[in-house]
Amino acid sequence: MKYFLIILLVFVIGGTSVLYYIFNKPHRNVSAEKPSYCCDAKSLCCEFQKNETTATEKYLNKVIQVNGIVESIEKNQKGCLVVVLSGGKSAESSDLMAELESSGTVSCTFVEKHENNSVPEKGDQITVKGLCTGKAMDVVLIECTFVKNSE
Amino acid sequence: MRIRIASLVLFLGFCAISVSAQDKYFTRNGHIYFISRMDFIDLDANNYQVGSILNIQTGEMVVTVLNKSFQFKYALAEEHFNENYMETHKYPKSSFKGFVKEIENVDLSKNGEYEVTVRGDLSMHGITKAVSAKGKITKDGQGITAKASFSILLKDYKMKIPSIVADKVNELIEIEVIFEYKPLPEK
Repeated sequence: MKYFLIILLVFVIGGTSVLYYIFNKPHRNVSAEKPSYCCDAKSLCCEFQKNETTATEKYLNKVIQVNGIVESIEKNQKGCLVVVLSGGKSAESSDLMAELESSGTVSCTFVEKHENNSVPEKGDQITVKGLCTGKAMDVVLIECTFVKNSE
Repeated sequence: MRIRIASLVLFLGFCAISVSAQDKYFTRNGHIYFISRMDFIDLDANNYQVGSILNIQTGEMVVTVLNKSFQFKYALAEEHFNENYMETHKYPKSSFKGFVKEIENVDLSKNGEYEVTVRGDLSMHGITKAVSAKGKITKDGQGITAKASFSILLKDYKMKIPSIVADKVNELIEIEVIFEYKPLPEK
């Protein structure tokens, strides 16, 4: 009986901690991952404009490293830095949805704890690494970090 | 006759100018928040990369959202959302196309807040359904902020709930939308 209780206790504690671990599974650490693809913003946008479905299949949920020229610097509603890299040309369209999805830029939303001392300026050439979530208005990268050019 | 034609040309010219004035506002950093309230836990997620254009003259509004950009507090919930519910690999994008009713009440010449209704089609998980939401448009300086909240049912978008948790998962998803629009640059 005593043994039975001890074994039961071990199982309960073990089971609970396994469940707890699964439930609190850590988030993917994008900044620590090696990029699956390295490319420049122009060719990335080009690929998405040519065939969005195949480009989405290729890049969705992948960590990619992108090199490009800063078009604008913004802040999102959470206060995170957003750097927009220029890509291809945007197409003219009379349809509002087509216009929205034709911007031809790469938007890079940086990690929350990004240090503010390294904010680039418009026209700078930079390299960022982030998780690609597809193309909506822009090709979107989240959880971005800067990649030093020497790396 | 000549004067008439001249005045017509002038009038048309004036029309063209007023059409090209700032009608369209956009954002690439719109925020969508949703929450599913359940007995044992509340699951919520944020997406800060929502793209949208609002035509302030016609009230036309379009929104495009990447499903993979929704970030959850719990990584496990995020995984389930992407793999089982939204099936992000099959349906990477959701979108909305619609109109802001009562847009004519919005006076852009001064700061102010206006109650509006948004109606349109929400496309998600391969299904398009009409939705309607109460919202608010705020004019503040150069920009326009649009806020709305509404709710949807999982079954309307054919999202399968695994039978093991069927009685625990809330069918109702509450959604909040906040867009901070800026004037869309002329191309």
